[in-house]
Amino acid sequence: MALLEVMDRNEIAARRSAIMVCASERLDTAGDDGAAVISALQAEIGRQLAEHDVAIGYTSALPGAEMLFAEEILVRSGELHLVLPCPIEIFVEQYVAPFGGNWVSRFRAVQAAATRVEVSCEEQLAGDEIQQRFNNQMLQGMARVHAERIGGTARLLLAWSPAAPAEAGSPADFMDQWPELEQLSLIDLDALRDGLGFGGHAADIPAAGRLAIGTSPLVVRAIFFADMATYSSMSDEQVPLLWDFLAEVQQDVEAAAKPPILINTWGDAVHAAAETALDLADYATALVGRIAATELARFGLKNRPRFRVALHAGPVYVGLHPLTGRSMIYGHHVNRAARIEAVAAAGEAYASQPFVALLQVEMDALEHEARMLGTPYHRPYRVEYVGLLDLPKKFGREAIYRLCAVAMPTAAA
Amino acid sequence: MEIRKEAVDGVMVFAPVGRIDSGSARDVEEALLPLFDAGAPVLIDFAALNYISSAGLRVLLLAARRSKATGVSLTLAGMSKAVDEVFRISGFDKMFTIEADRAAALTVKG
Repeated sequence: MALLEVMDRNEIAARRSAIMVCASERLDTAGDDGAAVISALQAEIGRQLAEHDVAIGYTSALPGAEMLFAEEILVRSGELHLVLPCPIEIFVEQYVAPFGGNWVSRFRAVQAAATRVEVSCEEQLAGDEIQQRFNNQMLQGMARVHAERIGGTARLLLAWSPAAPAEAGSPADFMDQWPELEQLSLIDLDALRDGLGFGGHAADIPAAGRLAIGTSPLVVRAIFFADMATYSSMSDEQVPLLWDFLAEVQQDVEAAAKPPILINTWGDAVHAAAETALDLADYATALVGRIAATELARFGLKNRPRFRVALHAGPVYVGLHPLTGRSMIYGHHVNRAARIEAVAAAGEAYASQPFVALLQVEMDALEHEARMLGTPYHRPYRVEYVGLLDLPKKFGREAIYRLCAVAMPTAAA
Repeated sequence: MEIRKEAVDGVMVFAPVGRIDSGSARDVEEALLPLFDAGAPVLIDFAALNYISSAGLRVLLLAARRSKATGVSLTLAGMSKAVDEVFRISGFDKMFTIEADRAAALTVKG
C-alpha cells in the first residue's frame, strides 16, 4: 500500500498527531531481570507517547523496546507502520526468533494489526549493518514524508545502550543520522538496568541476532536509470545530430549539477549513481530540464528527444566490471531501478518511495541546519504521487512519485 | 574538523570549531573522551561551534557518562543562542552543567 494512500485515508484523524519513530537495541530479556526491564521500558514508552500525543508510529518491531512501542501504539488505537530490513519470514527467523519467549507470537500480532508493513531490502542478508542502516533511513524518511503531508512533526524515540558499539545500523548510528535534538527522546537502557539494580549492559543479544559489524559489502546509493523514449524511431541520419544536441545539454547540466559518482551508457540508455538523493535529483532535473529547453532547430533534429528517468535508492554492491574494468554498482536495487525506468513517463523523472524518503531526510536536515544558523533555506523539490505501479519482470509493485523542481524565490527588486 | 585544546587554570578546555554532525562526530569523540583519563576538569567551549546535530549530542552523552565513571567534571559553555535553545527545548540541558561562557565556567571551577 502506498504511503500517500494511507495518509489520505487517515489524514483528518491524524492531522493533529505527532509521528514517532522508535529504534532500539535488541534486548535479551530471557533472564531473571527480563520482566523488570520490560515493565520499566513499557512504562517509559507509554509516558513518551502520552507526552507527545503520538498516534502514528514507525518501527521495525524488533524484540524489546520496538515491539513494546508497536504494541503501545496499537493499544492507543494508533496507526502502526512497520518497516523491516528484509523479507518478513527472514526477519522473524533471524531477528525475532533467536530471542525466544513469546516474541514471535507478539510480532505476528503487531504484524497483523499494523496499518502497513514494508520491506526495505529484498536481499537475504540478515544482520548486514548497511542493510540495517538503510532500513533506519527508510523508517526516518517515510515518517518525515508522512509528517510533512499531515502538517505534523516526526520525532525519534531511541532506546540505546551507550556501551554498545556505535556501528552502522545501530541505534547510536540512527541518532547520528537524526538532525533535530529538539525532536529526540532517549531511553538509556544501561541506566535503566542500573536503576533496577541489574549489572551488565542492555545489548546482550544472542549471536544469531548480532549485526555483522564492519563486514558489509554494501553501500547505500541513489540510483538513476534513463533511456530515450523516441530513440528507436530515429533514423540513422538523425542519431549524430542527437549526440550533438546532447553534448550541448551536457555542458549545461555540468554547470547546474554535481556530476554523478558513476555513470555508464549504452546507446540511448544512461545509468548513474550518487551518494545522496539530492545530488541525483539535481542531476536528473537538470538533464530533463535542459533537454526540454535546449533549442532544437540548431541541431537539425526533427523531434525533441525525451528521456524516461527513474530514481531509486538502496544498498548496492560496488565493483569493477570484469569485461570493461569500469566501476559498477549491482544488486537487487539496481535491477529494481531499471524496472522503474520502464514505467516512467517520457520527459519526467519518476522516483520510488525509498528515493523520496531519502530525499526528505536530506532536505529536512538542510532545513534544520539553516534554521539553526539563521540562514534561509528553500526546499528545491516536491513530489507528486503518481500511483502504485506494476513493475515488469515480476518485480511486484512500487509506489511512484513524480519529482518536481521548485522554483527558487527571486530576490526582491 | 578543527578542535582546539588547551589547559587553562587547571581545566582542560576543549573547543570544537564549526559543526558537529554525523560527519565529524567520530573525530570529536576520539579527541574528547580520552581527556577524562587525565584527571583535570573538562570544559567544552561551544563559542566556535555554529551547528550541532543529534550526532553531537551523542558524543556529549558519552562524555557525560565518562565523566561520571571517572569522577572528572564536565561543563559546557558558550553555546550560541540557537544551540542553547535546542538544548532547552529538548530538555537535554538538564543532563549537563552549562555556563554562559568560558570565563564564567572557569570562574566556577576556580
